[in-house]
Amino acid sequence: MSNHPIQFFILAFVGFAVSRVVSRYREGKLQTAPMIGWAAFWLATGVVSLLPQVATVFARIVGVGRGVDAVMYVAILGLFYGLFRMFVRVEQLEHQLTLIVRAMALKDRAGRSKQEPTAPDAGAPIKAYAEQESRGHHRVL
Amino acid sequence: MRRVVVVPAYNEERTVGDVVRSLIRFADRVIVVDDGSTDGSAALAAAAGADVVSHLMNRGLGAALGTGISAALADNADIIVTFDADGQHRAEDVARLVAPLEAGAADAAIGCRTLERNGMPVSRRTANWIGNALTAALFGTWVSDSQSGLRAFTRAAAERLDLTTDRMEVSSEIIREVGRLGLRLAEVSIRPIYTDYSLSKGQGFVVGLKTAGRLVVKRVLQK
Ligand SMILES: Nc1nc2c(ncn2[C@@H]2O[C@H](COP(=O)(O)OP(=O)(O)OP(=O)(O)O)[C@@H](O)[C@H]2O)c(=O)[nH]1
Repeated sequence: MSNHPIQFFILAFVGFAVSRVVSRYREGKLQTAPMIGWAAFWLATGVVSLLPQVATVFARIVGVGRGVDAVMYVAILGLFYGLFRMFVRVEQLEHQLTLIVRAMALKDRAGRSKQEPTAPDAGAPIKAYAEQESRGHHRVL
Repeated sequence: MRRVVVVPAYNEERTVGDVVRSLIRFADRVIVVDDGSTDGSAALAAAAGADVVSHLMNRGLGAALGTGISAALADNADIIVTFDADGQHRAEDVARLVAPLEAGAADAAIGCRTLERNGMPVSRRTANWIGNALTAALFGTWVSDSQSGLRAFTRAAAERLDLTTDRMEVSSEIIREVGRLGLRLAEVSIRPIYTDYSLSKGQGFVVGLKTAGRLVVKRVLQK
């Protein structure tokens, strides 16, 4: 088996990535399930770069033919998944922005009509959102 | 019963003043939610006698309705009506819409433009049918005009609505809530006023597709 410089670089990067995953897990910034997922992903990357035949075996099993193709398919799927998560995240951010705009609008209105006894609690929607968020309610994926 | 009409308005200076003036007779209060308009909508609505709540920036129909409903609840509304600012609804229809609610026969009402076959252009009718079908497919409740902007809720129903979409998806989301909460829905036939203006303000094909896409994602992520 011949060794190419690219393999060295990939391995070095995998080592770095795995160490980051582990240290973030230790710091408590990464939960167990995502930690295992990421570690598995990077280890698989390392294995495939060292032993490209593994990808071919995988490709045979799933029926795509060449190993490189299989790696490409997986990469594209991963990218789509990332894009989807990004979309969901942006939607969440937009909704949070709406809650702020709403709170300001209602506060403004309450301030204008002081004669009204029941001024709305303008911050209520934001508080409710924060509460749901802390219960993991809005955490998608 | 205290009746509050919520009018979401985004750059509707041509029509919002007349809409507010026509509504005053049928409501105890008219709340116009100026959704970050860059024209004179807010000032004209206020001059016409509306209570104006202004969004600092444009957040979309769903966001505007949510704000308006919150304001109406804070305003001790017993009945909350939503009414478009583009002049396509007739103020007289408000009275017919709220009648079943005030009689205690329904918790929510929707003004259906499709029950009578007049006035609605074919393209509109087709778009509406697709909206109805998608709403029914995703959320399981068929309504003959799911995208109608003319609706009414009792206070109890409005308090329980959980609306989280900011744009046009809100129309379908409201139908989902009707189903989820088991609200008794009255479908009241209304006659829309289609002017060149209200037609030109309609949502295009691309917006329709985006709305549909967001609804599907919403449904997929729903627990
Ligand atoms: N287009 C648009 N309308 C908004 C927005 N915020 C509030 N609105 C108000 O929402 C109402 C309905 O908007 P339209 O664009 O006329 O909707 P339509 O295509 O006629 O929809 P229908 O109600 O089904 O006839 C109007 O009163 C608008 O002023 C926004 O960000 N965009």
